[in-house]
Amino acid sequence: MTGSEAQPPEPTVRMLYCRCAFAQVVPADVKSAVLEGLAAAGRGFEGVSDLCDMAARRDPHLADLARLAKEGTTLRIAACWPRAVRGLFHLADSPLGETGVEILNMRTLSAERVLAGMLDGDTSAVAESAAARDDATAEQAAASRIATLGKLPPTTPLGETP
Amino acid sequence: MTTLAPRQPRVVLYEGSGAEPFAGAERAELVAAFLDRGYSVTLAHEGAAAATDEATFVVVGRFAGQAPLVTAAEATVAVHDCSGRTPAEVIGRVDGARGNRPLNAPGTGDSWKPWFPVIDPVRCTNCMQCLSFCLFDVYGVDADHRLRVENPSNCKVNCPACSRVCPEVAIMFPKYHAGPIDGAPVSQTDVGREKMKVDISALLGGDIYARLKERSAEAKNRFSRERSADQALAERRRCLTKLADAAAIPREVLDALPSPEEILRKSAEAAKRAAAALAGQAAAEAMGPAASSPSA
Repeated sequence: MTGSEAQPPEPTVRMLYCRCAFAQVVPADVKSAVLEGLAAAGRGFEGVSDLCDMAARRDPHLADLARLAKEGTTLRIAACWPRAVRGLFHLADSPLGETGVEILNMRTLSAERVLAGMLDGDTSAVAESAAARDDATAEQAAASRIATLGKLPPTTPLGETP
Repeated sequence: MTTLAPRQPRVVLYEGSGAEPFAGAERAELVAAFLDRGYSVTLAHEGAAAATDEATFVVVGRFAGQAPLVTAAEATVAVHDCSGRTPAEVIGRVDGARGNRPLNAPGTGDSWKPWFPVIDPVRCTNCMQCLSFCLFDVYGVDADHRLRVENPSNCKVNCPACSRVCPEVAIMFPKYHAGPIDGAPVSQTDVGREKMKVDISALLGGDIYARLKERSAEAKNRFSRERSADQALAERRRCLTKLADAAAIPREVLDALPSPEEILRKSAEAAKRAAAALAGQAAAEAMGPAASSPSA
């Protein structure tokens, strides 16, 4: 391969895994399987107990990560809804840029899809992360989780006026 | 209000040069255990020092008796050689090395569940309705008179009420159980539904603060007649049930609300701050784009 044919170097990838350890909104089997997959991959990554907790502290590490993503590192985050993750970085005065950030939603994706996005850069998994589920499925999943855990307070479902 | 340290303490699991890798299952077990205790964790394959930051207090690795000296930004970091140790022993040693560094540990009695509103900056129009609504000083404004979540730890755990007054569906609670409040994409249907709920006061049949004022006066009369704490509490519960159901406010949050007088005082303060922020926005707009600094 000559110099003129050389491909640009692969961007550095930084992986961040949120355990969401203070709540039960991320299915436990998914987050555990994702962690096992990351740990088995033989690559470095960072884990945080709870991304919300970090944002509330305005942890300066979030600013470091946002800066790296703006400087060319691909930041892959396994957490929850991309809109929420971006909001958390914004709250911490460390807004993420439009590019260089790939967020995988463990609330809706299977562990296999999350790992495909984290380890292999499968962009379809990233796109799926931001896609809404249909309301019936979402409500059903939420009701099932509440019934199972029995830990959340009763609430009025969205859209239903008492 | 919970005072939050700037960072949770960080553990580095080191597998780079000079260290043997952990077995796969053991690696996952250790990372999960540390995260479930509240630590941040870095699984590092390159230089141990490069993986540390100011929050790092310990580096753990299978160093076979040759543990390196690691200096982080501010202090020498403890290094534990865990060769031949079980995961339980490693976790015990790390817990011991933490000393008196504060740790918000999930599931412990004095832990703080990170529950607070998160603003979607793409949707927020800085109308300040949430700032006016919140009685707990969670919201504030930045130097550009834009809304910001100033005191997250003031928020009442599991209470998403302010998200129900936002006309733009811009307030998320990532730990809520359903969308769009949990951060799920907002549909046009959601916007329509939420706009129906904007005016919580309407659900109570009028201006909420006027109603509270009336109730305060009624309560004074009632207390003077009855002097019954139980009856007063029952009345308070009855009056607030409607609000609780309408805004998904946990009953314990309502029970912990201050007196009607205090609510009125706090709401007046919040309204004043919101009005000042809106006036600041208007003044900045009137002076033109050059006068307002770029938003984050």
